[in-house]
Amino acid sequence: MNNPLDTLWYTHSPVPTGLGIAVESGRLARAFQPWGTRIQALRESSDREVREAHFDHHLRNSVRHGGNIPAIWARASGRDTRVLGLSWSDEVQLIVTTADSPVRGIRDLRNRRFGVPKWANVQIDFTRAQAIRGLENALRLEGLSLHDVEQVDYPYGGTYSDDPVRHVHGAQVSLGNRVRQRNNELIGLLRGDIDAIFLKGAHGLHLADEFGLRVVVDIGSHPDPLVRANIGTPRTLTVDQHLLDQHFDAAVLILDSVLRAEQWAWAHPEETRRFLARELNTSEYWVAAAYGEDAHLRLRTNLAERSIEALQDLTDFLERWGFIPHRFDVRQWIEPRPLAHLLENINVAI
Amino acid sequence: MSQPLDTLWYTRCPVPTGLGIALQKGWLEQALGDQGTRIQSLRESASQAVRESHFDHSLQNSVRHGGSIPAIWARASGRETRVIGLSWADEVQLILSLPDSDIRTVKDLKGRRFGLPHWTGAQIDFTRAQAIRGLENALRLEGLEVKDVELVDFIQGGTFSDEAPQRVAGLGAFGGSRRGGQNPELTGLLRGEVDAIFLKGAHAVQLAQQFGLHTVIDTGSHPEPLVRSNNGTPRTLSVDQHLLDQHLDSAVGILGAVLRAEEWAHTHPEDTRRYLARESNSSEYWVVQAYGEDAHQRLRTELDERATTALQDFTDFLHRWRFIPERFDVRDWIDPRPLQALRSAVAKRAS
Repeated sequence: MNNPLDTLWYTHSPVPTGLGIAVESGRLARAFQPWGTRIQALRESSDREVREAHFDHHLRNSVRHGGNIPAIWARASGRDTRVLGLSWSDEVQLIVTTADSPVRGIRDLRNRRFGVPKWANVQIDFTRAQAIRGLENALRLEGLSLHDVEQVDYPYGGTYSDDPVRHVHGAQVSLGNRVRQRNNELIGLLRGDIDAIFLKGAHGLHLADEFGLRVVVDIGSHPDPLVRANIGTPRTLTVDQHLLDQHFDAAVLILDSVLRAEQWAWAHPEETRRFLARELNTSEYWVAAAYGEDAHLRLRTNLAERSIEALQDLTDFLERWGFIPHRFDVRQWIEPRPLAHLLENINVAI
Repeated sequence: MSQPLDTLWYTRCPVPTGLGIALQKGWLEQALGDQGTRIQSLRESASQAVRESHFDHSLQNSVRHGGSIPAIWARASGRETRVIGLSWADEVQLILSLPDSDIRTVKDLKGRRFGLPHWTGAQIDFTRAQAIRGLENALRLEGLEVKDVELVDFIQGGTFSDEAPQRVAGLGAFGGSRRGGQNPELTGLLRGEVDAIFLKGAHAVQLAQQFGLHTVIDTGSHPEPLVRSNNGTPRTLSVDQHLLDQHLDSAVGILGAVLRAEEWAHTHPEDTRRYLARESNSSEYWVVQAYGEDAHQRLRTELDERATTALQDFTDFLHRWRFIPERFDVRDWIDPRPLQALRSAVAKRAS
């Protein structure tokens, strides 16, 4: 490594990511060991500022693999980050209602009350953005728009990074003793205050089963990728510009570790499912139900055209609804050199 | 003499059991296969009558390892079953209130509304019985009785075996989806219709965290075993009398596979945790929260005095609350022969 890197900060969302597998299997640490680089989890920091970098990516020499909404927001807010890769793991994205609701299809949502979370103190409210995206995409399938439903906000205090997390038996667990009522819009649905909400992934499926909810639509299984495009489709693998400029080898090594972890996953469905269950803090059954029996094959980081188009579409969506101050061209955001370098010099399949 | 057995039906609850581990390891299949017997999962059957045998133990040549309430009820209702082992894996048993509730301790439950599930179509409503048991044991710690709280029923139609569980990637949930949800009383609590409810095990800690619920008490961690005794403490390993009379070797083979799995578990905490997560359809983290860091050590099937005493106490409780038509002596229900046969075989090998 030309310019030695003292510390690499990493973070990955508790969702299926190649970086998550690279980190939790020890692969990333082993890759950097010969260079004397320390690998540090930024969400485990005792400093809230550092933890918040999972969302605003302000930390120098850091890598993040996870939901695209905070990454897009950070870039739109002037943060100097670059996308090294995009991964597309389709997952269930549900609009749900109660079992006895008259809402049966998407059209029935017209003039109904739809509950969305609203975090008052966060820089970027990804929970709200993903719910609105899911709702809009569902409504459009029937020629409807968000104006046709009544949005009901469910406020939350605090931020997403109030407490440090630790990996305990594989699960990212918040250390704080703070009791904060969660799933407020689900409670609103159960109380009959609203008619429908958005749920996604393994936890969404589990909650739908727990409360016997009716699935109005799963847009995560729609054939059109732009309908499925949301916070996790595609996920972004990003680093800061400084890392690329000063430690290009490190950026290549990160991407190499991610691609190798994903290749390992393709050949190890059982172990990968266990990894994902631990990471998501759910059961292997719910992982398979939410991410498919082929969840291990869905871990593929590349710069596919489909993912780039979806990322642009999502960026435009976020600007349209005021989540980001202005739109930008995602192709300018993507830095293809590390991937190109790997494809030229190292035998990795993508 | 033991007759050859064609098919053994098996079932276990979605909780930590030696039989569950034996099945995951393939050791039940192996032990019975050596005797020319194939094994079949009764709760995955297309027939509801077969699936319902998880609760009423009506199927000939079947083994069940799980909650004691349906097993006690089946026996009290005249079903010819015998207990060949008891396992005691302590688990969380929570009385929960809403985060902003003024109910902080057991005393505060006095005069308040307590939500109970009421499955009208079920032969034996074990969810209701275990909730009342947990509530009664908690209240007694403060000199209170169940009549000191207002019980509110959350009626759920259907039975526990209406749908066969879906299988994905070879993995199954315990039961199919249920209209109205898995825990109607939880919906009632979240709606503010009651002040407290009872939930237990891995799902209880997970749901409590997901909704920020307040734990009023965990009777599952009380030092007195009779306070902790409930549906899962102890669990029963039971077979039908016919199997014992005609196929004693099968019964010995079953128990042998269970004990082998438990012995393996004691030295394999990580792998056991994964199996328990699969069994309970939860995560390894929640398994530890609910069943302890030493969950692997808690898998022990025997016929010890503590478990036998608790089983009798629990049988009396079920009779007192009219979940069973009459009480009976659990010592007459226990058949120690398979366990004795295995122990003397071990003693013979050792000598």
